[in-house]
Amino acid sequence: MARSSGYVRMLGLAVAGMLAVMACGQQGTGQNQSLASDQTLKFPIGDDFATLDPAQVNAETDSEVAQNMFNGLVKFDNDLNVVPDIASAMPTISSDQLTYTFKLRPDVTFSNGDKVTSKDVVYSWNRAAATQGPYSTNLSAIAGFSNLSSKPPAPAQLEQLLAKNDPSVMLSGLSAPDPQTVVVKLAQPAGWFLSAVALESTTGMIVDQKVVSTDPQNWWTKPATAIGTGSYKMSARTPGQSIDFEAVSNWWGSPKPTVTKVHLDIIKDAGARETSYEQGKYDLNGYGGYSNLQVDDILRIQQSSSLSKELKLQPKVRTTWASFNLTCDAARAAKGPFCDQSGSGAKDLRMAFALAVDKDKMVDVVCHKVVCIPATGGLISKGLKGYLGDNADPLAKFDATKAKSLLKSADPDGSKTKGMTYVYDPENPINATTAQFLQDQWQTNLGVHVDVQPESHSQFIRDRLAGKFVISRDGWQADYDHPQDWFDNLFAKTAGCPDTNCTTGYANPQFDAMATQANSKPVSDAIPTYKQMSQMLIDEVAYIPLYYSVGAFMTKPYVKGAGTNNFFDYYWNQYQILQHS
Amino acid sequence: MTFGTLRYIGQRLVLIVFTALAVSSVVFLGIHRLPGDAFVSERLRPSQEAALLHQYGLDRPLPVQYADFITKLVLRGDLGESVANRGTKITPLVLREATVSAEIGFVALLFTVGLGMMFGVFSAIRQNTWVDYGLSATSVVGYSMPNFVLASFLILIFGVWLEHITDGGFFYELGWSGTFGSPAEILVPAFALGFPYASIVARLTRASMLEVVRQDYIRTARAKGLVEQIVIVRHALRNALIPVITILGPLVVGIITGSVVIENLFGIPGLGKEFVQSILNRDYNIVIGVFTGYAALVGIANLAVDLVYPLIDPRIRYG
Amino acid sequence: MATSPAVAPGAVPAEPLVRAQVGLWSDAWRRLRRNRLALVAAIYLTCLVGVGLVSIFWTPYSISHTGVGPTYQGPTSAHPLGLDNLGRDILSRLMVGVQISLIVGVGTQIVVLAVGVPLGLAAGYFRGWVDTVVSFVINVFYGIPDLLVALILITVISLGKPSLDKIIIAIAATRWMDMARLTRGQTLSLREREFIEASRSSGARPLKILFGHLFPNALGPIIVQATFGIPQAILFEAFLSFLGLGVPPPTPSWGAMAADGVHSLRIAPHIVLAPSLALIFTLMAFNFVGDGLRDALDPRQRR
Repeated sequence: MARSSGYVRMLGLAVAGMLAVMACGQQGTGQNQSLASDQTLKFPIGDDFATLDPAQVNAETDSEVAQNMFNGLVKFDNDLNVVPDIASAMPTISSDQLTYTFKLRPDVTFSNGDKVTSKDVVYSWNRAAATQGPYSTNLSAIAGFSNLSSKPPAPAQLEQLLAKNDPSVMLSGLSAPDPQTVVVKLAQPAGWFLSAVALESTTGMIVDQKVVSTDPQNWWTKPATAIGTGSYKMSARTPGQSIDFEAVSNWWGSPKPTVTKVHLDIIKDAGARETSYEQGKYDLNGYGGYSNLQVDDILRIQQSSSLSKELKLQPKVRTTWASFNLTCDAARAAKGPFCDQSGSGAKDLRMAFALAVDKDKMVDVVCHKVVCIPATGGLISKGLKGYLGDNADPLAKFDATKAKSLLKSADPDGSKTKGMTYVYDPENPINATTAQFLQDQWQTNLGVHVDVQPESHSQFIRDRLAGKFVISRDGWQADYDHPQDWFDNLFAKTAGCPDTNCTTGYANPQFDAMATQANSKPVSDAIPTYKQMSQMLIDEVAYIPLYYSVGAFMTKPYVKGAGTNNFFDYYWNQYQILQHS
Repeated sequence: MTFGTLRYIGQRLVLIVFTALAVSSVVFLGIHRLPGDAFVSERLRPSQEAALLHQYGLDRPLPVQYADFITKLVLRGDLGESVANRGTKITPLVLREATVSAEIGFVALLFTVGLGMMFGVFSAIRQNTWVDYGLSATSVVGYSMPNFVLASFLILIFGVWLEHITDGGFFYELGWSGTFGSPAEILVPAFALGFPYASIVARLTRASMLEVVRQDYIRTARAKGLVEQIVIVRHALRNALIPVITILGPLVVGIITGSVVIENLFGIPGLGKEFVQSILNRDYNIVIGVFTGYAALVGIANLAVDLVYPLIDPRIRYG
Repeated sequence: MATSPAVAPGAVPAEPLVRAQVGLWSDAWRRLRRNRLALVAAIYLTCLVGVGLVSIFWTPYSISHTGVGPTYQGPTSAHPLGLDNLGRDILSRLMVGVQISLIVGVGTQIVVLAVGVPLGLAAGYFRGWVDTVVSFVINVFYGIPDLLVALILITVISLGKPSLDKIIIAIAATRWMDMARLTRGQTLSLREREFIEASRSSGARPLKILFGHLFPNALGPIIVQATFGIPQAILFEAFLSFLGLGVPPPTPSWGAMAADGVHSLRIAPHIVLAPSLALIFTLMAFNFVGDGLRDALDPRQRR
């Protein structure tokens, strides 16, 4: 029966057609999305590099880029656990906690093909330690570090000394018994050692002696000599304008990179970066260390149904607070009413100023409830070891009545708090708004007029560390999840307190003793001691806690694998670009 | 091109070189007087900072540093290396970015003079009518608001709204590709840069045209029966050009000033981008390089203007 | 940032005044009064000064009081111009901004007059090496873009700590050359006039000639130039604020308010519109008054 079979055939075709259409429709939503043919990742950064040399790296952008160019023996994974990288496994640690033995993978190579052996590790760490850069203290636990000169030789001379194995530039505790083994002897037990050498892009990273020695100062500036073990290498560079990277073929690590090219444009204006991103020119924004999208843009994005899906707000382990000058001695230019030498009421005065600031209102007015949260758990940011717990810090409370009565008793005629200036660096816009807010709070809630003075960043940092400010903006961004990073750099004698390199001049022998003791233990045992130290700072009213920062990141929906944790952006070899229009 | 003119050009070029050197020196001394340096960071201990300063020769006595700087500059045209972006050679950087700035500045100048003269001519022809008032008001508004406000509105209108309206088909894309950019990338920023000064040109053109239109020889030309259009264009416009050429020098300076803001807002890698940031960073060599580059640009622009002058007004001669 | 059209270097200088002094001013005043635009502008500016005076003693809200309402809020009855990004009342800040803008504008011109006029007079009258030196200095300053001069001056004299008076000096340093050159040109023309010859031959001292005779006769274009210079200075301060080199916060200069407001253009346009409109109207007013003064004082333009 021709006609009915014809109908059946048509019906069958129709059903098949419908199924096909449904299957095609599913393609856009399901998991079998295919990769784009052009695997080029593009995003903007705010400034050109200061340096990518692991021995000198400091700035956040430089770090986020360099982490894709270099590897260390161990690294942090996306969840911030320390895992092996160039090492084949976690090191064996001797029972006295003094000796770490690392075994290296045999297949690690530099992007120029040179094989990596233990000699490279010894060279790189000696070089990093002897250079005395900003993060050389990451290696300070190793025996022999204290013998290194604090006045490092010039880069060319350093290379010559390293080539000759000159003991003046070598860590005595570092040795390479065979090409796949590195033995590290510490001067004393240090629970923070592995975290420090895992820190991406800095002094724990391995560099190629053959290449570095050809241009000791500027080897990292051009593609031909910017050699590392990372999954990406620099392929082109136009200073001040753009940098290009390409994936290293047959890279030894995993996951193997999918994105073949990474293109960075240098755009100074935050608004321009976001506008370009929204126009479709870039795949990401906020990555590469500049997680500061303009607050106004974030608020607008949150109100847009399409853009808000691309926005991610991630707490960054950065705390901002206001510091007092706590020590009035001959070496410190700032005097002021807050130092204990000024009289018994100094601590009450500090408490008055701390309690007069409404931190919740600050988060509303200054951060618009988006780019920060109130710092209620101590100086160490939320999410880090050593965090005291939500609302555990009494200095974070707001109590205008108590503040006024403390002021009245400590400074009845107002003479002590006359003519004070709060100094800040305006390069980050939020510092200026914070300053104006603080000024208003002290005026309204305390009746004290405090001038606010912007001072350009480089000058500000230097003056602050030299103890020139009565009260000033202060802050710290954690490098790794260990309280030692905070105390040793801010308050303890190791930082230089009371006189050099110390904002507050806080000097307390008991505090220092506790720091030394806690640093030597494994971190889980040391936490109670660190918390006690935090409590000491609170009892002393050593600071006014303000807020913990939150970073903002935009990611196009076709970029998979991109992301960020509290510390760093995920490595580029994890990203994939899916097909998109 | 007479010998006198060549000698004049030569003199002016020598003057430019000396001015550039003078500017370099003044800036050198000024910038070194500022407290702070490029290496300061919260993590750096004083001894480490001292080592870095020593590595870059920044701890030598100022006269020694100056002598070294001038020698390198005069003998090799070498402006040194950046200290904030270490390893970046400054002379090629400044040359490339000066080209970008000059490119945008030139197109901006075309907008200024072109739009300004157009406005001025139409205002003069339709004196004291709504056309006159409207055009005058438009151009004065452009001159009465900060250029960053104008620029932001332009980005909003041509970058954001236009993209939405045309669904991504036709809009201004922020940014700059390659060394010379593309016409699409130049137009909007150049307009933002040049339009604010169009009102000055418009006013000059209008006044000059009104004056010239009154003069006798125009009356004579009209009496001879030439078509009014040609009368206006040939005689009046040519004379109106003179005062405009006169202020071209200050116009160029104004455009250079404006470029600092415009380049930042539009993401353009010119000299303006380096300007303020380098001072804040205490990146001595870049500051000196940028300022020297600008001084040279201004000198060359002024020279070009002065050379164009005799072409317009044959009465003026040099040498 | 360009010179006023009244100055045309190299071309024929403006005709010196041929009438007696008394007649000129009353004649000019008559003509100015007939210029409606300039009159309206002058009334506006007077009102503005009034607002500025009032703001010294009273504003609806304190200018540094943050969070008086939700941040970015648009105009409401309580806050007719809305609130800014820190929740401060924009109307109050705009009122105090009048003070700052006028101080910057007028203050700059005072310095420009104080420096440029004497130098121009001296160069034009004594000529010779005085003229050579002054002209050389003028040309050097012209050779350097004004931004460079201002930037270097600001950073050097404020040593990282900016303040209003230092900004005024820095801006004035970029503008004094126009005034000096104008005065010099005027002086050069005027010195050949008979009444100057007369006073010279009657034994008058140079200082008396300079300030008693030359200066009053050159006053017209000088006033016009100064009037045009005020909006230029105010704009320059806005520009410096945008670069972060302007008056330190929380001082509410209109330029600084606009510079801050530009970031929130898309979510709260009123923040940038209020100071921008204030700037536009005020600067236009100064320009119209300047135009009116120039037309009134220019003997060639007979209405």
